[in-house]
Amino acid sequence: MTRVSFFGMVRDIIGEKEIQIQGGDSVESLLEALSGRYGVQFGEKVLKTPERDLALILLLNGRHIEHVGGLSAPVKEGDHLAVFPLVGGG
Amino acid sequence: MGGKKILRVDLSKGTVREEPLNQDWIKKYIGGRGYATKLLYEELKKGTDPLSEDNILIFANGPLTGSNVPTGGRYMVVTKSPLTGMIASSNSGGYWGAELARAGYMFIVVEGKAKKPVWISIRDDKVEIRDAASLWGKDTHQTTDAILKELGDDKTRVACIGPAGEKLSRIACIINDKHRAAGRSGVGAVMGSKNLKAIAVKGSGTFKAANPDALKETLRGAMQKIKENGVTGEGLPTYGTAVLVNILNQLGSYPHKNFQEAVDEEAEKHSGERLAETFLTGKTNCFACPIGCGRETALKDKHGEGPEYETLWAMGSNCGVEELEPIIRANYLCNELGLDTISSGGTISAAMELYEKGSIKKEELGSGPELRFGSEEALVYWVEKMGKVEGFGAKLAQGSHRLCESYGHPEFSITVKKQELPAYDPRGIQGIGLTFAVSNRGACHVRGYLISPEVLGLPEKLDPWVTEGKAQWGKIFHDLTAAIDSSGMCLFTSFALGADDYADMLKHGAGFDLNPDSLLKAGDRIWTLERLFNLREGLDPAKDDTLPVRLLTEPISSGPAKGKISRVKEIIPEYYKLRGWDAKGIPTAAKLKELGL
Ligand code: SF4
Repeated sequence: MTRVSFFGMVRDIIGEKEIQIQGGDSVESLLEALSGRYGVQFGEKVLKTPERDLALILLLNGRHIEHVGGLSAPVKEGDHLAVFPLVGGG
Repeated sequence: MGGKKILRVDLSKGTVREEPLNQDWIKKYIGGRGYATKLLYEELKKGTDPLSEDNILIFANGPLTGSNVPTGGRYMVVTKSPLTGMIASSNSGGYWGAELARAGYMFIVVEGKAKKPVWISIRDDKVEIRDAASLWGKDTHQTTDAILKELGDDKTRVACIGPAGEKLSRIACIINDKHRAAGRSGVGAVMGSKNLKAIAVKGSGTFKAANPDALKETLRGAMQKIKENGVTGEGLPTYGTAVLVNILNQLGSYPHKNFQEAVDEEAEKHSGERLAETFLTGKTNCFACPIGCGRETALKDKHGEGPEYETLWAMGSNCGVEELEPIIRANYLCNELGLDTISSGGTISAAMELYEKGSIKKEELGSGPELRFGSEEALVYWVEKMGKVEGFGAKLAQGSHRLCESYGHPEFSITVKKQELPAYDPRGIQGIGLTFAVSNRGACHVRGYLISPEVLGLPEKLDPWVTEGKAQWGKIFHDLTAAIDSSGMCLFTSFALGADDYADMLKHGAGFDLNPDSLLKAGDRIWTLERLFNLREGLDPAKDDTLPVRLLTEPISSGPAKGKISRVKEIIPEYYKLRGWDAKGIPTAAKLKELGL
């Protein structure tokens, strides 16, 4: 199982803060599992661009996925994925 | 051009006069932060006591302040800082700067010291120095309301200080439009030291673009970019800056309890998401801003704006306080009493560490609550005392550096150049540590927001844990920011816009002959001149261009960035080199020549 937390408007769209999901062994397959679970809403509103990793900030165990292998980053039992929309501030 | 004149006010003599702009300086320093730095450099005598009548206080618009370029309403306050002893340049939004431009002025230069409290009324070119006896002692909201009432005009814009500035707190800010702050480096105390309570402005002019058709075209493109960008088009308008709480905490770089830790297990309680569900009542924006990151909030008995991300962290996690209510209350108090929220939170957190480790004794606190991490009561109570500069609050009001030194524990003051750090742990985010260490106004995130590439991935994703490449990124960000701060626009546009966009807006909006390269070069010149100012005031690069010893030696104890320390010392030599400074951090003669300095 992987723990997935949602933040910002992703949380609003999904309507949940945190879930446990069985979702394969990479970030990519985890996102597919999420799409399976949340259907069109998740696919269209959250993963809306072809470069979906750019529209979201995905942290795997507190590391941006970009630095641990991108979408093909390996996911192990007990890992934590945090899903943020692209936000900013100062 | 937004405002074409300088208004010079001598409070000692009680005189006001107008001066033309120095066109050579405009070309080289653009306006705002840049031009004001040049003016201060030329006119302020070396070694001037920042709180003496000899200091000069400059309110500085950019050439685009008051225009219709997106976010074209920003102004800066430039002076010698009573907190750092170096250059202060604090940026603010709202509507005051744009109104000053309408009145025809780009700068107000305040000199001397009034014999008794005064305020300045500007209505186009009718400028008066007026008696502020009845305003002295009032908070920033009461002051603003009283001035508007006296003028019988609620469209006038007011910038003023609260009791903190009057009583020379070194972390006092200037508040305009009730909720916007020129926050950092104690600029409010300089205003107070001059017995100047407020400047109220009303103007009737309009902005005239140098080339209206070309500007229209440029703006179309710029607005499109702002709209399409994830941060400026969606993130900031929807959530404001507060949404960063959870991201930084999940990264394990969200300082907790005076930087003793970098993860706050309960951060969700004061996150932007929680704020939106609870105390948020609306959104606000500054003049001509299509982004609108401001947040209106309300408690049962009060309403106001904010807190922003920085304040949520400074008053919240850094003091171990988790709930929103006391954080919001402390934020309101800072705005009303005229205190910088970042330095206030950083000072209370340092006091909490001093107290818990036995340096500050209970007796010193009088009847006030114990300064313990997590105490909501202590946070609100001591912010109020600090803002009123009363009792033990008077000690706090001098900032954490002076406080911790007085107890023989300078290491608990998490400051650079005596100014408190903002809400990012440079042990887990190496590049932002460079900005903190070399920023000319002391620790500051908005002199070069490397969080954008290191955390958000804009314009590209950089690994926050590595030091390689950060010197180059730092220099570009520092130069571009200096140019943006001099233009009159908000730094937040830079999530979406690049040097070419700013150069085009300055060109078509204000008649500058700039391209991206010469814009960055102007930024380089401004940054270097600030450096020269600091060197003249006694900056010692070896001692001052660094981070607090805790961040260099104590590894983060838990979370994703566990074990990390800041390796900023590896970045600085390369940064100096890229700047054309020698190994000791002194600009070389060749570099000064290249920049025309
Ligand atoms: S982005 Fe926010 S701070 Fe900047 S001008 Fe707009 S409302 Fe003001």
